[in-house]
Amino acid sequence: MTALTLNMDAGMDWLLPYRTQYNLHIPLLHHAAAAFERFHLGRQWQTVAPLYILIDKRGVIRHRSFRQGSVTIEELAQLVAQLVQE
Amino acid sequence: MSKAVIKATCAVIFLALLFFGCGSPPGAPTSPPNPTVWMGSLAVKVTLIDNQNQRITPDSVWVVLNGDTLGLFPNPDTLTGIPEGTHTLRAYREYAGLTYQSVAHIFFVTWNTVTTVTVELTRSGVLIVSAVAGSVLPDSLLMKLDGDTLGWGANPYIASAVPMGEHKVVVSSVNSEQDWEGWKKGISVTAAETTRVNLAMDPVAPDSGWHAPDIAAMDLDGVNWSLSDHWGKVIFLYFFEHT
Repeated sequence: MTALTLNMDAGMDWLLPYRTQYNLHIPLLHHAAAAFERFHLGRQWQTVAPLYILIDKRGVIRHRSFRQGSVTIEELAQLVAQLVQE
Repeated sequence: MSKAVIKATCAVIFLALLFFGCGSPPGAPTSPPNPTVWMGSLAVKVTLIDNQNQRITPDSVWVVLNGDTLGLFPNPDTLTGIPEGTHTLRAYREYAGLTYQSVAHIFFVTWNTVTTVTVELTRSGVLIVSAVAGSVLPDSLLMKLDGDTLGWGANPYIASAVPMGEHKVVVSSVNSEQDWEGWKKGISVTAAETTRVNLAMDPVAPDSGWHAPDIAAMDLDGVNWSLSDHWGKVIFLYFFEHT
């Protein structure tokens, strides 16, 4: 499984301390506005970050969240486990 | 004119007639030794490109002529008694526990001449990828091999010098209405052989149930990430904003 975090608007001066503060070990991609657009995310698409996307092993999008709290951590873990087993 | 001078002049004329008028000079070709099988020679020079891309001259190689393994020959070497005509030569050898092979070299041998063939042994092969977008055969494809973008090329895309082993291919195409993408992993490429892959690409869209668009961005450590490098795994993307 590959997990990536993507930030659209912050610079390195904010992101580096942020990574340190939360002790993040997964890759944190920056200047990801183009990626955001490719997934039709953002206000013009009525979707507001933070949000997540789950892609299965075939490269097919299986789940999209549209706001924080729309899916619980437990539900998310269940979805991931299901896709990993497929 | 003295008798001695006359004798010397006659001797020169006699020798000239002997060598140039009445026969060929020593060593010059006159007629084939066997009128039914005219033979030439083949000088074979072999180099080997190892896994570190270093060029090595092996001391010996196995030579396969017209499908028949002739044996282990010193390198370089000249093979004699090759019938005049068109031939196919391959070479191979073991090096550091691996087999290195050449592609097939087609050449023509002429009677009583030495034809030189330079052969390269590699661990690579050729990969030909053909892809359809729905029912349409796109003119061109964007080809990625093991995460490296090879660029746009005609469909089918021909990738030469692909290292022997298993590979992952991602191809995409764009038309006026839709992006398409296809991929396959575990493609086995054999040295000096051509591997053909046919892919049916899926339409790409950002909605659930569609193939995800490929995206690329750099992480805080300067590493480039591309989603298509991770097709075949479950991918979790978390988007967030500062403001």
